[in-house]
Amino acid sequence: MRDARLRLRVWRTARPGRRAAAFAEVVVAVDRSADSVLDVIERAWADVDPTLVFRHACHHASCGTCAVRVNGRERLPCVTNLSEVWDGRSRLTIEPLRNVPVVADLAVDPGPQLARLAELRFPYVRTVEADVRCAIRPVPDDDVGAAERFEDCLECLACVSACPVASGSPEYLGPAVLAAAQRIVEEPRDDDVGHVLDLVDTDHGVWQCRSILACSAVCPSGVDPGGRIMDLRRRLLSRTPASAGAGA
Amino acid sequence: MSAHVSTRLAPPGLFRRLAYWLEPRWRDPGWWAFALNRLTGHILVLYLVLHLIVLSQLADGPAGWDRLLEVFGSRPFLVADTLLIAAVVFHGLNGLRVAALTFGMGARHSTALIAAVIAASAALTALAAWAILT
Repeated sequence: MRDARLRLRVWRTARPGRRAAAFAEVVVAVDRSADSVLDVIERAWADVDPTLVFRHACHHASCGTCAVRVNGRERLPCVTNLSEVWDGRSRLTIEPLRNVPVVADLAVDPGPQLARLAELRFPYVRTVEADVRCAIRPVPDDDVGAAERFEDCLECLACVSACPVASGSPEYLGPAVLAAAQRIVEEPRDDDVGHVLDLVDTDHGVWQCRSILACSAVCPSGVDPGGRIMDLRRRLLSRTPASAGAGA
Repeated sequence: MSAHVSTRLAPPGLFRRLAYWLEPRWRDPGWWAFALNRLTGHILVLYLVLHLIVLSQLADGPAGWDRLLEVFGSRPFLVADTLLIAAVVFHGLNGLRVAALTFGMGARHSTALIAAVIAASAALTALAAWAILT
């Protein structure tokens, strides 16, 4: 039951008829206890302004497509209950992710980051890990067998958005790519990981990280990119000079 | 009709960088530790420059130097000394934390380590304040 009215402050980019990007405020009827933030965004689009642009797909934290900033913090709105982020009185602010090109309004283009992931030749599907660290719905031990699932990383790019280094340096590979690199190095499965180590052992790779670990704090899937970057550093520090640039 | 679509990430300008650092919204402990580390680092650089300028006053002879020491012994300067020690202690201890992270130690306990750094800094600063101001 829609029992409250929410003032939604949403970022709108420039377009014909709107000269400059700015926040727009819309009022949406909401069910405070049952609605997710994505429900609210969809209702703003369906009931108030059908020109609002945003990305979404699975609605259950599987695709990472809908990631935005809610009151300044990176979140997956599909699994963020409204009651977690709204006190029932103040405005709710929704903005696109930082450090990723904005296509329009809340929709960002993950293309550049995905291209960097492709450079790693990252295997997207693996047998599930023994410890599935999904923050949304942990899988009971009994269900963890030979099942296959995507790697923990949802490629939502919340980590990239939260990273102050990525904010100041677009050349930085970023926490999502570096975490994926660490996964490959951690479990190479007979593949040569030399090309991965060469890719991350650069000024704009693991050494540009400033150990802030904001990436790990916002990751909705427990990937811990910051911890993985530190693991990569330790691996690189033990790499012999002869192997650098010529395999693992 | 123009498309108004750009998928190129604009290079960060000065305003964008400043806006990011000054945005008073949600931050995690690691960000605060980083920001405080940068701030104390700048304070230490500034102090080093001032220290060298003050030392250059030795060229004016003992009388001039003694007058300077009287100023430095005043209460406001002693309080500033205490704050400087707080900056030195935090910057040093946090630097050790960051170095440990680089070697793969403590990344999963970052918040607890930051709390330990702040607690140790506060304790050492209090000890210094007791020695300097009493």
